[in-house]
Amino acid sequence: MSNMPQFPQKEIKPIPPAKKYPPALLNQKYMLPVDKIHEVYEDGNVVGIECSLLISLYHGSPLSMIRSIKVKYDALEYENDPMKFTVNGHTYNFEEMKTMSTMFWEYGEYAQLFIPIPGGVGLGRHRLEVGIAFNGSATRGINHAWAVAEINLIEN
Amino acid sequence: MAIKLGVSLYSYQSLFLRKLIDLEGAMQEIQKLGASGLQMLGEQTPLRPRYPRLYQPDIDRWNELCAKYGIVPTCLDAETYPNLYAHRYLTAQEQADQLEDDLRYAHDLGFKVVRVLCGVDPEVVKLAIPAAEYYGVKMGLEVHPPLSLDGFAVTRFLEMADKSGSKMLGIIPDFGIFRKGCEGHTMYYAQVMGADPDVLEWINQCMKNDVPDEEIQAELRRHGCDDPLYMRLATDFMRNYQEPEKLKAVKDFILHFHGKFWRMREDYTEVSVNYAEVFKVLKEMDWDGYICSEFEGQRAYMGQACPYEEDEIEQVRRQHVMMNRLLQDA
Repeated sequence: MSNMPQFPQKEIKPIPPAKKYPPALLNQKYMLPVDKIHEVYEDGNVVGIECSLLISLYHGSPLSMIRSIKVKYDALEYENDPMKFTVNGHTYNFEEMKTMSTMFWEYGEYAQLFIPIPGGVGLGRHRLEVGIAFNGSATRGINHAWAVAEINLIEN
Repeated sequence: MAIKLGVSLYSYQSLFLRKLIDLEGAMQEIQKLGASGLQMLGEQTPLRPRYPRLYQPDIDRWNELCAKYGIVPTCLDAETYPNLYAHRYLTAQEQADQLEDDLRYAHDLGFKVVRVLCGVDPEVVKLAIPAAEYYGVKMGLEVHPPLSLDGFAVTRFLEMADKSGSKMLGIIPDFGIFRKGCEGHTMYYAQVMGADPDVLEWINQCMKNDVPDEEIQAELRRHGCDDPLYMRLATDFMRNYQEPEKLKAVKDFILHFHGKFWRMREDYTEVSVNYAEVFKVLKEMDWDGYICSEFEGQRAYMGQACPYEEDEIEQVRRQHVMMNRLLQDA
């Protein structure tokens, strides 16, 4: 204890609850842009939601290093399949991505995540949360990326 | 013999992510600084078609840009992926093959050194020596906190290098090992978010005095300061300050430096990395080579709810003003 300086002799005000943010996650601020979320139509019917994502690592990653993709869309929850993931114009499901070791989600390039919701959940305000777990390079552990978007869907 | 300066494009990572800068723009920034060195990660820099593939038109364009802006490719940061698949760990030979991809990539772009991440098994590096010899590119072990310059990882690596008889191996110290006190970006973030400046400075002083994390945390709790903003700052397994004098013992193995920093103040001082002492020692050693800026302050403010961010270009500029002043000091 001898090296410890004296604690400030004053009243320390508590930090306001609104300021208690979780630790920053890499690129979380840019990962899920709210203006790149929209409904997807097929034959005039809503078949799901698509969002665009930027990678939440400091480098591009082989698709096989994505360990899980989780989505909460209002009260609906999804994990891995049956969602679809598109990089560089090619669409894969999670099972396929597990062995795609030379295909990269490039740094700075948007990937599209399709969430199948036949019929949709209607226009108006919704909350979308996306979580992606990566295995990092070298001996790093799992990197858990997570972001939330409050959206207001309007008719296309 | 001279110390030369450059920039790791890692410093501009959030600009690259949002396409607010491209490769040419980054080279222009390096030129504006009066610097020449360029360090980068293959997987981060927008060279296409896709890493690790390069074709002649890509190489030609790279060479044209380097010539135009007076750029010297210094160090390519190699990433290896032992966890490439979920169901098994890659063998040492498979990881060495990945390193070979980086050695070839480095060779094609004119880099003389690749950085090997500090977590890579020396056996992997040993297996990649024939490729390094073939491509004429050296492999440097990153000495990143919490590693010590004379600790187990570095000693084991240098023993392997010695036994191999190869001249292609060395080390790349990261200036993060010369940090005394809290990381500047984390401390600033806590202040912006409403933490008490006096408590932050107290934590900083504790760190400078080498008070263990557990004792700092206990004292914070005793005073009711158990908010994550304080506790995160007081949980710092990366701190392991290295006396810059230790560089002299490993001088002959140093291939390059990562000029790590987290926050440059407006007065051109870094909050907690001891640049002055390291530069003094490097000049005493008559060390010849490149120091490339590696701004990593982004880690503090990339949270979705964080209301500020730093200007990466300005942070690097301030660091170069500081480094140039230190170079000029007698």
